[in-house]
Amino acid sequence: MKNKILRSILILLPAVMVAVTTYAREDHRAYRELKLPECAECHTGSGIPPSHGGGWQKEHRIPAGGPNRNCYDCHDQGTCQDCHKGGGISTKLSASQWKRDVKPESHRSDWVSIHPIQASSNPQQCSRCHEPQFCANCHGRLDVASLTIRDHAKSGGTQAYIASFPNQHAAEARRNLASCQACHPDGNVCLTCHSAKIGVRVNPHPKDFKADRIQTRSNNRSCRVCHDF
Amino acid sequence: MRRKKWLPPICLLLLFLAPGLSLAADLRFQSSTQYLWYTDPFKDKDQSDLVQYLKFNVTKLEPTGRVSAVGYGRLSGQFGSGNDPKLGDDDGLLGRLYFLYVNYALPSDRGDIRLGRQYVSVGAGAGTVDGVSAQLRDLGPVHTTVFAGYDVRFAETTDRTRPGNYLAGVSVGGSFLKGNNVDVSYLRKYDEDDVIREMVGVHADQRILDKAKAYADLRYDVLHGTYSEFLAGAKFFPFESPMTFTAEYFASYPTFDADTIYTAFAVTRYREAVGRVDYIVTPRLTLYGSYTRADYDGPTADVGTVGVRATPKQVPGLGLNASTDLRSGYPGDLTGFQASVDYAFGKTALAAGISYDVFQRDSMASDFTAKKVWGGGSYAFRKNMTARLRVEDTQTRQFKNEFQGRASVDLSF
Repeated sequence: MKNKILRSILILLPAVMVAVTTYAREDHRAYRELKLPECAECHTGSGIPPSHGGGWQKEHRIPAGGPNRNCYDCHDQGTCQDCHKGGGISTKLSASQWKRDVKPESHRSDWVSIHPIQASSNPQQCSRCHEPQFCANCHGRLDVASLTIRDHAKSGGTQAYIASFPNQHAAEARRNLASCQACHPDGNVCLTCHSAKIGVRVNPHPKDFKADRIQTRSNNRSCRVCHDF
Repeated sequence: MRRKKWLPPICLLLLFLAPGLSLAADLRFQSSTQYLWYTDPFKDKDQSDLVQYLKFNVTKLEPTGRVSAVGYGRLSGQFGSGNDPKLGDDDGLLGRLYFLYVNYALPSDRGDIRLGRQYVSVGAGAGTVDGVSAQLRDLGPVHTTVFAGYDVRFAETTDRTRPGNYLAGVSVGGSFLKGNNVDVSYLRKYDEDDVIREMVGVHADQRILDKAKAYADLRYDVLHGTYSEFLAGAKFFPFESPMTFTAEYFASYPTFDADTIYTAFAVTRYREAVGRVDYIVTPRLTLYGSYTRADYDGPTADVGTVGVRATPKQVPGLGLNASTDLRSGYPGDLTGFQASVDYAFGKTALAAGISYDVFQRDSMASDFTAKKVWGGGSYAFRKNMTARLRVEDTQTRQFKNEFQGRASVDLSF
């Protein structure tokens, strides 16, 4: 795989380097005070669609990550940090808060209750702003019986249902493994069944699991939890 | 690993002293002093915080004007007893330093070199580092971004930077045909000197006849040997009026950092197809709507959103926003709407809004209703001094009424 990546890079880079035409980025600093709909006056017919539309919250990740981004023509890094890390120096009146951190607009009404629905949609979405510990700080304090995790609820907040119907537990865990991590950050409860050292030793790995890079580059760090070396 | 507890307070102190130390340069700063009150859902009791934000920008630090320094941070303290450090209710002052760096602008607008705490981003990932970055533009057809430094992980109470936790990345891209952009990026994250995340990002987009744009974006997880996220889409804007149609396919294979055992567990792919329309009817009226079909490797969900933003010409200063959302399927349902109105006249601005959501978190759970109403206003005493007040009441699953509010005095010089 390493060779494949290197080959891909070696093919792509010369393609860029032998470019025949250079298109300099448009400097938007002169337009930073405009209201968003006013941007359409230039963008109409320019061949570049107006950005910052209804889906911008999801869309902006890609233009913001490009090496030719022009975000800083209008924004400073505070715009990133205010949304991603709860900063509030320029807080709009519409912005709500969670304790001292400002919440982004996507965190609607009773977000504490609604967030499990949203967290299931693209499970990697939450980790763009939150460390795993953020989830564990709250979930570690909750009464398990009060949760509506399907497996736990069916057995009154215990793990008895998981033992009786392991396939359903597996399907749910695979769809949103981050929700397991939220309450069990170190995963010790998983080891009851999934360790290679003790218990029933159920293999949790995907069928085409590639362990070699995880082993070598992370110094067997997570492997040692379940395996002897 | 011993944590440098003294480092964040020192940085924050420098941030707050910086304006006074650089009187010779062109200095602009922004300050917000806020009193917050809210209900702690775990303790079922009222809490309040006093928060001081400061952001500054110093330019003309030397004759060429290429060097500048910027900083942004906050100090906060909580009132009340029964604090729980695990939840961030620590006694004493808490600090959070968002960024504090020196910027050197290269000649001919060819890029920037930054040193200090900063937000960094490439296609393969993003983060905050205490380190150095360089963004170089228009090197022929090529643009590049490179960064490296200590990985800053924001926790509840503060920002954590530890020896052995590093973040580094590089991105190279450019245009090689008319309306084309390609970039390749690489990101590596360390925890206690072990590599816990290694990603490669590839992005390409192409404008087509000035009427459409096609794009694809891939994040490949090197440690797990699989793609982590894939997006392919197209935007169509065939009309003279700014109406944009978007169609996207997105697939995600959630992988975990290699410092947790979850990194080795099997997961299933999440996929979604999205159709969206954005229509700027006039600069004063924008409509948007989207439909998403989500697939959870078996169960599915349908999600729809319709919204409007308007600033009626007949009432200068008035703004209206409204949207409604419908979600049905796995893992739960939601029907809700949000609406807000804002009105500015003279030195005063007023705003208010309402949210109403009916949701079922799981097919085994009951329906719940959440309502939120909020209102607020601001008054500019002077050109550079504004007072703001916001109050909010939410009816949640836990509480009949959950009050919160924010009062602030904002200054800028």
